[in-house]
Amino acid sequence: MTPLLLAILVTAALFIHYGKQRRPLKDMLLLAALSLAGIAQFALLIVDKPVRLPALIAAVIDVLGFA
Amino acid sequence: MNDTTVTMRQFHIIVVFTTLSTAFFLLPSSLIADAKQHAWLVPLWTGAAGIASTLPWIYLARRHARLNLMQINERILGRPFGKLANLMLLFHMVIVCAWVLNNLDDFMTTTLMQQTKEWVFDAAFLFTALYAAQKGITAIARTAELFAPMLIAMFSVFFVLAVHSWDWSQFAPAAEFDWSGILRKPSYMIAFPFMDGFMFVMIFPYIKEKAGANYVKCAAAGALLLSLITFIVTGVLGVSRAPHVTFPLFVMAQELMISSFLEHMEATIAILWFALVFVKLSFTFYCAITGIAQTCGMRSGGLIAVPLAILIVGFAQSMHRNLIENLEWLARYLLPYYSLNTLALPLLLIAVDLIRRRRAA
Repeated sequence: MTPLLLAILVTAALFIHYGKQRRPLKDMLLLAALSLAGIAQFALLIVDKPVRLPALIAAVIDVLGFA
Repeated sequence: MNDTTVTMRQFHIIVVFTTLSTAFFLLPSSLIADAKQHAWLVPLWTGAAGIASTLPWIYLARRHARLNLMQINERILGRPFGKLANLMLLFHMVIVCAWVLNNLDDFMTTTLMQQTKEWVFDAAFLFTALYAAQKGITAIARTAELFAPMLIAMFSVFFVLAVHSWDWSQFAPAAEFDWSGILRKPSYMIAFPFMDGFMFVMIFPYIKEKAGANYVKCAAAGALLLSLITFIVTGVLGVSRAPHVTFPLFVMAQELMISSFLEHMEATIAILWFALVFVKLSFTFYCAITGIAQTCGMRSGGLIAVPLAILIVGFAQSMHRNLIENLEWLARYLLPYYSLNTLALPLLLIAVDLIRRRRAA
């Protein structure tokens, strides 16, 4: 739970910081997308169902038949 | 980011450190498990194959001097397909960062600090690397240059002292070769650490002369050092013991007794290893944020550095459920996945580039 709360706190601080700087909308959208992905991953870790990158790669390679 | 230039010496150090970093701490035991007394041969042939496989990228970097990895993709494939290729490479960089962190937290939680949560190490280490990456490649290069003499001196002393318990009988029978163990089983080592070399194309524009040739030279030196370290681990720990130890250098340091008042050098060796890992992590992270910034048309990667770091720390927690799963994944999927980015993509780029040049002529 601690890493999730920290991630939310840091993200909120970043949004306030960059929001005050009036960064371009495209940059803010990218920031939002990455932040959301990070927070989602920490939330999924709590319920023990995280996104496993190696499993993702293995699935793609199996589908392509390279392994 | 404050990018200026990287001197040739700094570039040499970054390449050697990045090649060695996690590999020299993790690989010797699995290499000895596969190839027994001939494990030291494996880094030599996998190094040659791995470095050869990065040549298509080096060729592209020579043809498009002053362009980095992401810019080469967009120049040859055009913007939409170039960005798609960039995303593939960025995914690779992110996964390498997550992997390095995962190796680090595995090491810390199994050896030095068993009670601490893994994410604490990951966050502490990655945020230090983030700061270095934010300062630019020059800062990373200077840090590597600063660490280099200390690391070379300390590791040299360590290996000289460790050789005290050397046993030549560990290399017997010398004439019996298990070719499957030497060639087929450890073939994943072509990918890790050598195929990661394509990332250096990101900093080729900052190198004044012959970046490609210098990369090849230093990666070859890295392969030789890996072979030497595997040779020492085999001679000191032995063929029967080394495969059962996850971090053989750490165990060697634990058992090292210089005198009755100076023993258990493992913490010192661990700190030196962190310096190597730091260089690899900060370099890879720098490549990732610079790549994202260029692909998305941002002025700098500063804005996305922290959320990307949070995401990578999250991924590092879930790289594998256990060590066996990790080893099986490495043996089966690592080489095909790395080949996609290091061989298939640059060969496609070369083909498209040649066709476009012929049409233009």
